[in-house]
Amino acid sequence: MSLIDLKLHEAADKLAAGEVTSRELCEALLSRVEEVEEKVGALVSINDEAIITAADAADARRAEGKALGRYDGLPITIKDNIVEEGVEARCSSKILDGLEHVYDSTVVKKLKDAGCIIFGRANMDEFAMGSTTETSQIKKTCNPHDLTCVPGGSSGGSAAGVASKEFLGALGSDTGGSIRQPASFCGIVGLKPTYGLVSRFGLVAFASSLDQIGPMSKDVKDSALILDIINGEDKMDSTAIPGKITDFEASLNGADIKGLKLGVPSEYFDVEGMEEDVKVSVEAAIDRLKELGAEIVPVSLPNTKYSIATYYVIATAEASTNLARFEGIRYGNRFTDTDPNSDEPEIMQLYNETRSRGFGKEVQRRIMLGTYVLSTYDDHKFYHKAQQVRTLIRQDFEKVFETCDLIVAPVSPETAFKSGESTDDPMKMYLADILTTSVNLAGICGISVPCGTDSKKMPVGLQIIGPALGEKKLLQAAYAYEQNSGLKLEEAEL
Amino acid sequence: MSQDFDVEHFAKLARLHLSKDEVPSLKKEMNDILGMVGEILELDLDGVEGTNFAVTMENVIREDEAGKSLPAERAAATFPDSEDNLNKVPVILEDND
Amino acid sequence: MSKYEVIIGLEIHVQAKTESKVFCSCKNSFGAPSNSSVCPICLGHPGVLPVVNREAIHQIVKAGLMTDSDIARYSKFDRKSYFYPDQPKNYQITQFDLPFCANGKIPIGGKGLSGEMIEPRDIGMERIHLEEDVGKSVHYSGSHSTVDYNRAGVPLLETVSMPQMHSADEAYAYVQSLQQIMRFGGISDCDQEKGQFRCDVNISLHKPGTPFGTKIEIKNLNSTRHIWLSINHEIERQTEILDDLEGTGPNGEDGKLPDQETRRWNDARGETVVMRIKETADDYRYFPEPDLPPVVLTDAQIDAFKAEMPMPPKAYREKFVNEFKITEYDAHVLTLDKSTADFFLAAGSKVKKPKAVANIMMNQLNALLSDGEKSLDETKLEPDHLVQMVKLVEANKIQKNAYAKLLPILMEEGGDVEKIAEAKGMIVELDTGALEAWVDEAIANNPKAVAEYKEGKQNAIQFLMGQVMRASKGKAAAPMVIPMLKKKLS
Repeated sequence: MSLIDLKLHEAADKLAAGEVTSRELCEALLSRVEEVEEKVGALVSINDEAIITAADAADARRAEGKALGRYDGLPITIKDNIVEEGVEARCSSKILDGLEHVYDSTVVKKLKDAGCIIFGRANMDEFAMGSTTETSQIKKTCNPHDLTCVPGGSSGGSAAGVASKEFLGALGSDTGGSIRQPASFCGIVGLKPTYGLVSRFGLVAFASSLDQIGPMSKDVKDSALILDIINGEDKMDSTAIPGKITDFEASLNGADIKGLKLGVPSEYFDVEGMEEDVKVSVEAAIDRLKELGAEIVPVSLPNTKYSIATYYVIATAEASTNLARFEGIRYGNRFTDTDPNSDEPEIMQLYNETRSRGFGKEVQRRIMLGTYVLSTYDDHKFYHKAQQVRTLIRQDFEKVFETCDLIVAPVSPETAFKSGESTDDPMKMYLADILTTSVNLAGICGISVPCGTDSKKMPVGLQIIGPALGEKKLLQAAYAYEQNSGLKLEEAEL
Repeated sequence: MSQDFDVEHFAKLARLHLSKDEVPSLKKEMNDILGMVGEILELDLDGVEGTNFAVTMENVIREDEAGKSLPAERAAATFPDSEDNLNKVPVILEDND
Repeated sequence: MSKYEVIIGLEIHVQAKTESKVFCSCKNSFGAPSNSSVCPICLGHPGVLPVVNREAIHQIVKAGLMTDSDIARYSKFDRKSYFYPDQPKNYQITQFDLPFCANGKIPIGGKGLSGEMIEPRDIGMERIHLEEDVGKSVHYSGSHSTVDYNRAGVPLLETVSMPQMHSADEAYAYVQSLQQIMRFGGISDCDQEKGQFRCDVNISLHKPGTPFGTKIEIKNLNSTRHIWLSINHEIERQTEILDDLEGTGPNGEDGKLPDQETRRWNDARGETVVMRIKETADDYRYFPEPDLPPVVLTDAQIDAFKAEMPMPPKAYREKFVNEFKITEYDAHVLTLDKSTADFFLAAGSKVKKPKAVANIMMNQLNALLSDGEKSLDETKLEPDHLVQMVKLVEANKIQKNAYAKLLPILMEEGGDVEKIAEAKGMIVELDTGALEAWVDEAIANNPKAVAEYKEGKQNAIQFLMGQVMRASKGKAAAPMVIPMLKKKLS
């Protein structure tokens, strides 16, 4: 077994036992990157030297008996929209080129305080807008299970890199499914925590009321381990929930789902474009959960059909303001080659040029949609309606959680598809988010766990959804399933 | 949704420059998207309170204590162009008198 | 009187006094080196989030309470979108439909800048909301602009008046009254030179009984004088346009309504000029700020704020008029600034006739202060000094003419009033023998005046009195002099 095959929790155990050093781990991973990154394209940047320096420092601390804790020396990759001081965080866009950030995001601070090594930055859809990672302006990421397929998105780089063993675990961000869907496409675990459980300070905002940072990992235990590090209150984020939880990983010991009530929403199986293979795999997983002692209850989430419309109104409205700050005035790329004969003043041309050339088409579409839904043009009716439907969607879940512990469903109606299939048709891309956006709109938690493959051997994900702050039960159920699924999941071959 | 998406207007409001040949295809895409999201407009939601905030917290307030700022040189180094630590930009306002 | 009615509304931005900015912990200070009081948050860097400052909320609630506003039990922040280089995020965190304060009142009175008295009344204030200030830009025409973000994120209270003023004088009085309230409350110094108080004027003219006219906005006025001048200029300019429209103006009948536009004051030219903005953003796309949870205030919290609220100028004036029995106008003058009002309050509370203290303050003291270009705080004069002076006069120990001599000494050095009066020989001589001697001397030395008095010229006795005072070096008890003169001459 090679070091790159280790799970984070195994690596932590080995570091603690002195069986491996952080430097050895990092070097093994760096050679894996060297070997497969060209094919996979998971990373937008990685600084080998800084990684080795940090690994040596962690090893030195441990040698002196001054390790910062269980996680000291663990390499973890972050998505390109998470800010680290002294490093560019481009969000896979061209508009932020040249800005070396002047502060650390709270999650990076927590990782560093725990002794973790920031192991490169993962590719993503530009500003997290997309579900294939194809809107990245920096590079193409391929699905390690089939390089002709997309890895999903927007956290496609994080998912692909975990699946290709370029890194042991990563942070992604999930606004409408951006952790769970790529996790499902790449056959890994991805957790979208309850809104507010993880600080958003230093996460470049896409949609502020929906964004959450979360773990992406090889197994459930690793997601719990990462969540132990990154969760907790933050005086820099007014929407961060008070308190700090430190035993997500520990609480998996002896996890049992006997007697757990799992709701199965019919609406999540009847969606347009649901592939038969996905349905079969997820239903098999539900049967397995039943065998393991869970009680399966049919439930209804009747407003699911409005979730896409509601999500796209709210997310683009917020995004249109969050992305207004990128215009070449204070930082990043400034396109100044203006036309002196234009009627437009120079500064207006600077704005327009910078934004049209700096942003890709999908980002521009969403900014325009967001601008429209907030405009006085139609008296805010779109935005207000969406806020109201959001309430209904939230209430749907509240009602189900009155009688059920968790909800089980597919993550996506489809498995990873060929690159280039959806880029020309934004509508197809938007509709594929139907099974993930509601969780963000309701602010609750959801996880994707591998539950099989389709006929083309592409992974299928089981989505487990929990109520606000229901992460412990969610992780326990996911863990119990993972440990007892009876599946032999194949690793990606590269 | 019969309303035609005024691509030029919203591009201008969002400070995006569109080339002439982009307009028709973008208009079609935006109309399609509006048609899709437009389904919620038909809903009768009288009396349903909108969700303004993703959290139920209130009064998240910090104490009035001054902390550290960035050194001016460091702040200025992030500007694409600067002059005496000021952000230098094309002229914003011209006097017309 | 013009045939048009003038309608004026004022939107005034007041910077609130706090240690730190409203959404980050950079210092709220003026005059720091360029971009030295900035951080990723107030620079609008990617990924940052705002957290609201407790003192900023305290300040706006105080402003609301001092203006009799309704204080919102539930308040929230909103984003207002517009692109401008001094606006770091290209949206401003402000408040749209749920501001902290609504339905306030600003009392006006006193004299306008024209010197005319203003009919005292209350002007409605629609709302006060909390928002963040923008950076400061400087424009080099034809070349470039520069932006300093030290000011970005300073807490701003935006006050919006009802359109209830009808003249430049009334607008002036509103501005003055609002400034007083902010200063009395310790909410803002309203230092216009430091940009702590900035005003936009909305003005329209119409014939009474007809719909309101075209609303013209005059932006970025940062001096009270400019506000007054620009309103008068706009009244003149718009009157001319409307006269033309009616065919009664010098240019005949082919006039048109005033253009709806934004103007600014050009002080050098003494007129308002059209402001060329790159693009007027008429669509601010407000929506609730998702990064800031709502602020909920309980009745108990508001009561606690009320209990510690400084007394507003209006309360001082009411006390001065009702209890100290001075005129409305005098009360207005004595409450122009807080130190004067507190001084008078302290002194006036300790004497039988506060009016006597008011007179000293408004006459001798005021003259000395303006001659020396000093404020009351910069002298050593204490309220007790005036109390002692008035009491010594009431006891006939010194005379009113001693005020002008005592005040400069007290302002410079302080001290005990009676001892100074003694040392400087200002104590009145109450010995009738001494008085008689001075009276006799005056009669003997001024036979001409004596003769005139006896012929019936009443003025002559005033002259003789002056001679007595002179002979006594001011010590003669003035009220006793004339009776004695009259008795001797009858």
